[in-house]
Amino acid sequence: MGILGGIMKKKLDIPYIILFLIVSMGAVIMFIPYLWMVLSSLKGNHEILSGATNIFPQKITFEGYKTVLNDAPFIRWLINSLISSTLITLATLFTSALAGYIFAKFKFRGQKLSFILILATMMVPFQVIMIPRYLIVSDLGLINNLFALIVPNLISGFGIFLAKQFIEAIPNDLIEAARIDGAGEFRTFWSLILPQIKPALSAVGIFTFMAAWNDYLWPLIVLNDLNKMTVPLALVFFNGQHLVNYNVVMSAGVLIMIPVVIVFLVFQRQFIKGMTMTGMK
Amino acid sequence: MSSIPESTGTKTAIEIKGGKKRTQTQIKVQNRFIFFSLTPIMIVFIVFSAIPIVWGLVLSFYQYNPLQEHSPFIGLRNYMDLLKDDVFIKSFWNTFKFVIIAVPANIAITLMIAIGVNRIRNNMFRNLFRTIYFLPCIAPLAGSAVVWSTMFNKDTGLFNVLLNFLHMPGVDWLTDPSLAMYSVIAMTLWADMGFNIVLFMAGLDSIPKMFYEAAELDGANPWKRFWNITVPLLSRTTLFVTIMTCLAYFQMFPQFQILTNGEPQNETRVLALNIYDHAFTYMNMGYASAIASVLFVIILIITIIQLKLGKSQWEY
Amino acid sequence: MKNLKVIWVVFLMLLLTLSACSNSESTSGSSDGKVNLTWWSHDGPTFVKANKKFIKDYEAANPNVKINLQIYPYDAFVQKLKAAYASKNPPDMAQVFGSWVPEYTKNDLLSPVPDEMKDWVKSGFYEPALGAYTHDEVPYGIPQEYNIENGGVLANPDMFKNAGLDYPKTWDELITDAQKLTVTQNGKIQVKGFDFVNYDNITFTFLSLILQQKGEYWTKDNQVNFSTPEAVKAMDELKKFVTDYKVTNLRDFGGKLDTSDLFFKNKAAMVIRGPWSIAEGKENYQFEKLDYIPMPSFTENPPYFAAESGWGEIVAKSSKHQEEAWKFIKYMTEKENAKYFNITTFTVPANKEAAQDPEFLKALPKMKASIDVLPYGMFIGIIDTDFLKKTINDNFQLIAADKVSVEDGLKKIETTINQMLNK
Repeated sequence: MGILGGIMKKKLDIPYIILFLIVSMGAVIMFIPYLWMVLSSLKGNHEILSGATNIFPQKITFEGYKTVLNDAPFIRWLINSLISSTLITLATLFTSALAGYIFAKFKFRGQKLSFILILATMMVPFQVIMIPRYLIVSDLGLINNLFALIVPNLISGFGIFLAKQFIEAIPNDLIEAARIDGAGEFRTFWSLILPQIKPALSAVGIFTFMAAWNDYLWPLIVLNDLNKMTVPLALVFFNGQHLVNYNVVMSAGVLIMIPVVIVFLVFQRQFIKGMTMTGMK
Repeated sequence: MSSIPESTGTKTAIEIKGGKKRTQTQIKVQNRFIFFSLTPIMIVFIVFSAIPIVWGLVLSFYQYNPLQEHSPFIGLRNYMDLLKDDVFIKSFWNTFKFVIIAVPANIAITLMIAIGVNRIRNNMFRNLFRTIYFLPCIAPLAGSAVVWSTMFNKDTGLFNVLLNFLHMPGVDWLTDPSLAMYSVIAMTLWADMGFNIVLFMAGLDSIPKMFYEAAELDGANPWKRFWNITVPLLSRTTLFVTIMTCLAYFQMFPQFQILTNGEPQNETRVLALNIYDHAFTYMNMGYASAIASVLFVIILIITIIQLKLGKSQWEY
Repeated sequence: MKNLKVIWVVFLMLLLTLSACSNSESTSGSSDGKVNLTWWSHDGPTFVKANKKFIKDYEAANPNVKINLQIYPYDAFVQKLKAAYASKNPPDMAQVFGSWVPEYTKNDLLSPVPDEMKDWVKSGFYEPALGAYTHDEVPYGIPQEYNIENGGVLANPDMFKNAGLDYPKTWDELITDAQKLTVTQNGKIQVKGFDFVNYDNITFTFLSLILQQKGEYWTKDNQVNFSTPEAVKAMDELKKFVTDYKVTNLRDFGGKLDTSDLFFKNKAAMVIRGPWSIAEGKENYQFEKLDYIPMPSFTENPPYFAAESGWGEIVAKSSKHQEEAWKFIKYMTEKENAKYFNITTFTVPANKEAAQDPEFLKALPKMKASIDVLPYGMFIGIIDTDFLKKTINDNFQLIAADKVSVEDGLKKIETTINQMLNK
């Protein structure tokens, strides 16, 4: 109603209508793979084996979903992903803020060097550190363990950088005042600094969580057990087992997407804000 | 254009560091705080980031296979072997081909979409469109690749079914050597345009409306307005987006492994996949490290060039 | 400051609990007096079925043993196993493919077959099957399968009937039949007459064509030689299937489906593939209307072929329960169980007694083509066959697409492989 009303009032703004149609068409195209995924997930095993080329299922069945829920530790995958991503995110938020605070507001020997070092590692492609990191993790006996996903990701160069930028903007008088009031260093950090940089932290948090949730290459290397796999890895693994009956994999895909989409829609505003902020920096 | 002052902070920080007098105990307390906070962080950082980088570079001078007891030092031999390795050379060029096509395509398309969506006057629709365009970004790339691999299927995949419906012959999306790379690029663009669209939209929002209004009064046509206002005022966002996209695309891995695994005729074998195969299929980690080091140098050079170009543009 | 320490400690504890949680299930060892054996295998449905039955029966007879079977898709399994051994955390037992084994024996990572079983293993199993499991004359594993990708061809009887054709007896008949069975529409092959273009069979067909000309591809100093006239002729013939006879193409190579999948989807009339594929077709496609016919020889000579050592069992040297592991393996590989295994998985027995037992062919009459050619098999040689196949596949694609000549392609294969062998 609103949009049409708007157009009517402007006496049929033709270029605008064309623009609107083009943008809508693009949006529909973006949406097609999801539609395909849902439709394929509702096809029956038999229909797929017959090699039929219909896009819409001839008969809606939930065979695929049944197979996923019966044959695969599906809930386990979600929990694994949730545990590792949440822990990584919490840890990263804390370490980023703390290190950012120290790099921004204190002076000590080796400060510049350590900060530059942290920044420099952001530039190194993951493939370079992947192999030695794997060897270190296996020396620590962490192969095939969720721990192996979490520990190396407890800190983030990007997070530290962003937090430092924001904390530098906090006036020093404020910190001094807190100190004069007798607050300990950690108190100052916890109750003065942290609240001030919430927007930056929400950006870091969102990015860290997404990166952890979607990571594929590192879990592929360090996890073996079906029970320990995270969602992206499990999906691909599952795909190998059900090459022929791809309705099964599509069902798994749908089940995985549902929680992600819900979370995204709930946090959408913060999400977009966070993204925008990092782009600015 | 950003809401955070960037350089004011450092100045005052120096003042505090140098200017105010501190008691010995205060300094001690602070030092202890620094020590206790930073040590665990630096340990994790050194063990899992700094050491691996150095180790990775060192490893490339060894013939290293973790199953073997002894790893002989072989100097530059891994690098010499690279020059004779057809598959490496092919994957080297494939990586460039992918980046050179996919990054500009990504930038051009996302900028267009961002401008388009930004013009939508109704707030609800604008947000809806932004959400839809962003949606693929939140799905795991590996999962999206699995979905696309079924859409690319020669017989039952969506694309060929649609082509057949239009009475056109099906296409070998993933097994035709001249086409496979473009299929992977198409999938990649779908999967991660959203980030750049959101970034560009934010950049566009920050351009003051009055510039456009003034230009319109001067009678500048939309094309001119785009080139004279949007492009220069968006250059900062564009530089950021380009660098980040380049960095990411040089390292792209999941869709290559899942959609084609480097086939046909190694046309879609990129360096990232080559590194993975040598390291974890043939367990020749020294050789894989040599390839990784090459990738590192490439990325470093490209990033430096971009930063240099960006700087000169700003000064202008 | 105290708070900071508390936070670090909480972090550490959280992580430790988590790691303890995720470790608790898979620790191998003996709890409550039971011996826990970890056993890895790939996820072929028929293999899993047979393995699970062995576990069930064995656990029932030996209540003190608990066997934990973990399965992986083939591609992942290759890497997982290497990674597990590299990180010194291997499973007690693994059902591996023979050609992977030399790298482990070379680095002294495997437990040798116990002395009391050695003679039985050496005399009771076919040599090509045992080849890769043997290091310095000592067997380090027991094969369960005589891996054979040659000898037999999946043939679709309906397609032959509709074309009014009999099964081919000679090489020339194979080609003419294949051409007649090929269905082409708008210049695109809809049904392939004869297909070998998959990850394994390009290499195995190539090697068998060399051997059938009485050619050789190994030199005395353990290098490969593909510059021989036999190799050139063999590769040229393979190329002709694509470029001249036009009975197959490269359109499906690198796709997700195997040549046997094409066969079961009625998109190929004849496909050379190991007999295991018959079982997979039955499992995945409920496809049973097929014949498994003998592959004619390229020459007047018998149908010689190269075989890599197939599936078999190994035990890690670092395992705490080597003795129990070998006991279980012996249980699986003795005649009756071996026969059950091979019948279930539709593989050729490595155990001679099982292969020669008439009951075997009675249970699996389709296996006749494979059993008949066993005497002509030769061990492929100690080499990373994954790398060998990858190299041959890469270059075969270029040769068949007319991007390089047969001679240049073979030269490339030879130098690439020798470079790897010298490492």
